[in-house]
Amino acid sequence: MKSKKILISVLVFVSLLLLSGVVNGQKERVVSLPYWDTPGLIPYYWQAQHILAQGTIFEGLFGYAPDPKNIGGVKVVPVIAESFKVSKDYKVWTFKLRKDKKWSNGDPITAKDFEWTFKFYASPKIPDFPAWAGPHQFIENFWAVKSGALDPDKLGVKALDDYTLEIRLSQPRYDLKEQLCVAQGVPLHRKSVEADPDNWWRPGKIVCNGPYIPISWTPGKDMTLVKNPRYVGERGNVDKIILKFGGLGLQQYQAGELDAAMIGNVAEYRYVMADPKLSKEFHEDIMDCFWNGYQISRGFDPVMDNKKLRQALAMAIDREKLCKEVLGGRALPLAAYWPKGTVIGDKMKEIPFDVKKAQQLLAEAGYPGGKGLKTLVFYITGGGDPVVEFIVDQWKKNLGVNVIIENIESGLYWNSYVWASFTPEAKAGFTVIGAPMNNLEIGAIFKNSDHTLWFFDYPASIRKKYYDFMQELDAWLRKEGGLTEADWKPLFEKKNSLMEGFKKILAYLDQRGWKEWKADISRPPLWYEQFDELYEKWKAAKTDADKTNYWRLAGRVITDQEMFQVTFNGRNEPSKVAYAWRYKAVNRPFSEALKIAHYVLQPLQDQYWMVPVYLAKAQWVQNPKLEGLMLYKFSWGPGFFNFKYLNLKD
Amino acid sequence: MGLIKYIIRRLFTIFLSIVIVIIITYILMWFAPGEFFNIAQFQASAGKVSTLTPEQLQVLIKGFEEKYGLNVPLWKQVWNYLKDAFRFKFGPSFSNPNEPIEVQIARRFPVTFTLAILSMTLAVLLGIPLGIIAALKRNTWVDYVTMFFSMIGSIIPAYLIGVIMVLILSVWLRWLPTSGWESPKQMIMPVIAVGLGPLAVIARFMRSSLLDILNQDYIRTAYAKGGTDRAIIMRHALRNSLIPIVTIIGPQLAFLFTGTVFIENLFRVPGLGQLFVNAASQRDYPLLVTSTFILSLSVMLMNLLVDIVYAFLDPRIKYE
Repeated sequence: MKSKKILISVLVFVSLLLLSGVVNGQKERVVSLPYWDTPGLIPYYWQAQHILAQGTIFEGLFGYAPDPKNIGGVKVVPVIAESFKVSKDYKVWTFKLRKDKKWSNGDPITAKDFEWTFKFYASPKIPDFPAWAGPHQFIENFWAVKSGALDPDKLGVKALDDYTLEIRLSQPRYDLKEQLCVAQGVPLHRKSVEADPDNWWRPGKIVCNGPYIPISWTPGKDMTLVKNPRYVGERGNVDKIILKFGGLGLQQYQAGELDAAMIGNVAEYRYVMADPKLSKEFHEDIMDCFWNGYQISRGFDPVMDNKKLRQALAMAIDREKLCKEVLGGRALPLAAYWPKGTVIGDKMKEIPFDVKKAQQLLAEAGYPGGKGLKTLVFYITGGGDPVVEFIVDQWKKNLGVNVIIENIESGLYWNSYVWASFTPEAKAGFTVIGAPMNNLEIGAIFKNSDHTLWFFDYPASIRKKYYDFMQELDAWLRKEGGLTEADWKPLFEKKNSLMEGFKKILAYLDQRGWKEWKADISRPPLWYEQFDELYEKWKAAKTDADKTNYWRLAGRVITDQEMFQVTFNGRNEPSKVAYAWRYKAVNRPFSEALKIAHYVLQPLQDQYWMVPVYLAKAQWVQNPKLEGLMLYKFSWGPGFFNFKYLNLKD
Repeated sequence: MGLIKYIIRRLFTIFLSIVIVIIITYILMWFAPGEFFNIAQFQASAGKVSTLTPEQLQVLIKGFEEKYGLNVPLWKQVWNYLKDAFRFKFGPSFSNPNEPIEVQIARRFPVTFTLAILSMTLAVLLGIPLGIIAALKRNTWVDYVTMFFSMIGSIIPAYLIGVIMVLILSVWLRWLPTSGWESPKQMIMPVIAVGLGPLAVIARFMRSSLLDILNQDYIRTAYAKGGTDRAIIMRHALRNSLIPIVTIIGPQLAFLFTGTVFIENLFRVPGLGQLFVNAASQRDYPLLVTSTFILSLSVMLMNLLVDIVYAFLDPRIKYE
């Protein structure tokens, strides 16, 4: 057994040598690139390795190929999938797999690999599996399996034979193909994972299926990849890729230690453009999967509920000047969530720069010349923010509005001020926001501007109630009681009144013809079915602890429904329309969704809660001999990825 | 025997101090804004929790809390942490669930340790002679030049020195690689960048300490007895003037174990600094507590070492 292992190791080593050209005398083609510091290689975690898993060290059924005209500069292509068919309701997807694909140890890649991996992801063994970052949460019974209520065999994934995989979903997903491109869509090698569950992913142990294999890795420093000798498929001529984490990118490039380097600031950009050699090696592209701007802070001060005030502020910013003078030409002015020249952006109206109109709106809002308006606060983090300083200055000069800048520690800022549902301690004002697409999921085309739907577009009083309900949901987990029928009485009374409200909402959705929205909130088990089931379990419970627990859970169901009804009824009309269009968009194929996305985005943008200001450019220098370098434009970007297309010219 | 007893007593004090530090850290994190202990981490991992039934949600939260030891009251969390920490078991971190914290530290600590020791060696080997020369040639151009450069060394941040070195030595002259941590050549710039600050401090302390000693009565007596400069400085002045230097070297070295984050990032040195700094911004409470543990332990052990070295430098010091 031991000698067999040694023999296999020798064979792999020799084949690597042959491929690397050491033995046959060819010159080894080595490319060094900057990369995000990668803390491990487990592909399903939302860390730098998830980008590496997408087409470099792993491959899934589908992947990305370069397409400069498309969103993110990519198009979705079949990789391990040969063909697929989908049921009419978009809930059952059947994939035929290629038969020539192999793992790096020579094992064939089969549908069973996908079945096992997806069941492994669903199992309670990985309690911190970031299900939001992939398609698994939509697979039939995923959450029941994850919580241990159902056996993993009940998950809606099945290998019908070695090369046919069926995925059944709990709800229609028209973009499953697109979602399978992400790292969580790749299969893992069962034998190696089971043989060493804690260390299977380490270089030297990892069995992967992408065009390159990691052979060394030092977090904080670098990683080395070499060609996977078993790989079947399109691949460039680069033998070895060294990914370097951190350091001075441009200086490493100048010293010949990197083949490409990102330009990180205006000073570097000017330096590069002034240098005769570097300027010829300069490249740039727009980061179309993002928008940068500001959002109204997520507090409860009603002063920002005044739409005319928000509109006036949005129209009083000279975006051209900002991009030219502050951002030094490293960004484009952006007055809509998507820029002109894109399929969505071409259909959207932009926010004009019109100081007179803005002044008029401010006066109509009740604050002529900014008089009577309290001092607002623009929350930032870090050493300073020239963009925010410019915006604040524009508001002062153009509208007479006073805004002070307040600096907050970064962890608190991003967690509690920018991306929190609500920030009770925030004063009336703003935070910056750089809102990205995570991938080509349909919901991502709204670039998080749909936070306007989730958290902004209610009057302040409703936002406060929403927040209080969230607190109450937490409080239910700790409440004492639930041992007697008397404790249930108020819950039943509440349930009955909520039933009336729920029926009214369903009727309202019928009346407006918003069937997708209705289908979503009618999906079983309905809230009152859950409540009744918990009550039955409470009656059968044998211990006080169980009784209290079921009562607590039932209380949460009631509070959750109450929160839904209050926020549904309190929602502003444009927000309701946008919400309904959002349901329509996510219930059709990706290409079709793009055609109607502006019906969601325009009303959201016109509420001016989240305001686009500029679109950043990715800028880099690149070895002229290097071809096929793909820019990663999704969140985490800019950076480079999908290295199988790399070619190094002689 | 006195020394051994002293060390045992000090180790016990260190143990108690660390327990107190960790308790305070937990309490501070509990009150700090930013949801250190909230299940927000779980929600981020779970995704659209609204699609879960309440029971499923409860089970999932429980699984998550168990993995990170959050399923018990705070006092028990502190107890569990301390119990494991003194065996150098720190569990998983929020921000990097790939491997336990102790594995991450075990990989990074030798790098940081090497960087810190090499930098401090450089600082001591150059700082002490420079301080001596400046003191002996006080108020001459030698003194002024030495102190001017030591002042520059102490006020310019290490990362700026690093950037300047990369520009000159790597980009323009191409003598050294810009970054990395495999070969001695790659270590030169990070060691200099980290070492210059302590070097400047040591040189200045050495100068003032030696000047102070040289003005003492017993030195005057030694001169009166006909001793030469060389003999008096080597036998009487130098040894005594080293005591304050040892005092500052200990804590400086301890802070270098965790405080070289900019240099690590600049030169791609895979050390502890980056790991610990990210812990705070990412609200990674297991890693944050561990960084406090490691830093406290380093400072206290270094102080113990310094106190032991005192005895060798000054025989009058007795351990009781």
